[in-house]
Amino acid sequence: MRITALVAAVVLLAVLAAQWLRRNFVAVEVAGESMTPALQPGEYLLLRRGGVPRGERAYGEIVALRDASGRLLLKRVIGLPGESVCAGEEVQINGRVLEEPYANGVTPVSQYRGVQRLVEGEHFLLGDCRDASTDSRDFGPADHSRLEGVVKFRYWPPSRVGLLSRPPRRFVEPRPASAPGA
Amino acid sequence: MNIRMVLQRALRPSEKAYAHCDIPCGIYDPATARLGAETVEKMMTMIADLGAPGDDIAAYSNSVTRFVAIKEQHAEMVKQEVRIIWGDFIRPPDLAVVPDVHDVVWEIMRLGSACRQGTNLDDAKALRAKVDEFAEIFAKVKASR
Repeated sequence: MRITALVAAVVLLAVLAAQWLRRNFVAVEVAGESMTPALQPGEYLLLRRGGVPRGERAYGEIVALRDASGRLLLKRVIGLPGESVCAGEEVQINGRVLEEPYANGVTPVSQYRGVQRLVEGEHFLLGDCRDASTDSRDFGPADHSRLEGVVKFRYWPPSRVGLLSRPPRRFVEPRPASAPGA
Repeated sequence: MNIRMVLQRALRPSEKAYAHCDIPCGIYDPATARLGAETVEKMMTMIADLGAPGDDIAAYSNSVTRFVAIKEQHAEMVKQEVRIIWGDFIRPPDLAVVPDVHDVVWEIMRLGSACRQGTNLDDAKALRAKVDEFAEIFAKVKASR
């Protein structure tokens, strides 16, 4: 009797956990290389539905949004509402050069974008692989309502299982001005 | 099928999330140049196989014209594709990995022009070999980033 109750409780918990997971997360497989090295093609991820934070805490999160054809895209949040973003060889936020250890490749000149002021709710999204990504440099800023979820966990391959943490936001320190006459 | 593959298949999500580029912004591949060089060589071979014109001059002229036109077009395409990768994808720091890239590109330009100007099969073979070498250079640079 006691064993039966225990088994029933375990099954119930498992069902509840599965329902909670299904309601709050969606599993996706990565296709393409624009988020390398953070995300590699063929990796399996869990996206938290609608869990995109607002404000400073959104910076660095890898978010999912749909393009015009309905495909889910994965890009990193770089610019936040109210900020001025300039994307060229480097990314400038409000005139300060962003330090981006996660980024690689060089933005092609054809994708340089001048200063763009993000209005309320708008986010500037970029792929980490700057020379092979279709992102806000092409389709413009994305409104918060378009962001369907945040990448939270990688569960395949086994060697890369783990939580995905967002990088701290840092800026390149400006060089000190040289002394007059130096 | 091993356990890893079974597990991978069982855990595979039904939806894909695209982290890719679908407009011309950094998509580089020497495959087109290789195909072009192969076509040039094939056209040169077909021109050589034609031999002397027979009685049907019209048919002979038609074949030569078609082979030459395709050869011209593909030799120029090879030059164009290689120029794009060389100019847009290869960057000064890559020279540490592939120091001979400029020489290889220069050879491809020279051989591409030679293939347009003449019908020497050796030029076409040399062009194909150099384009293959360029494809290896491309792979090396890509792997180094």
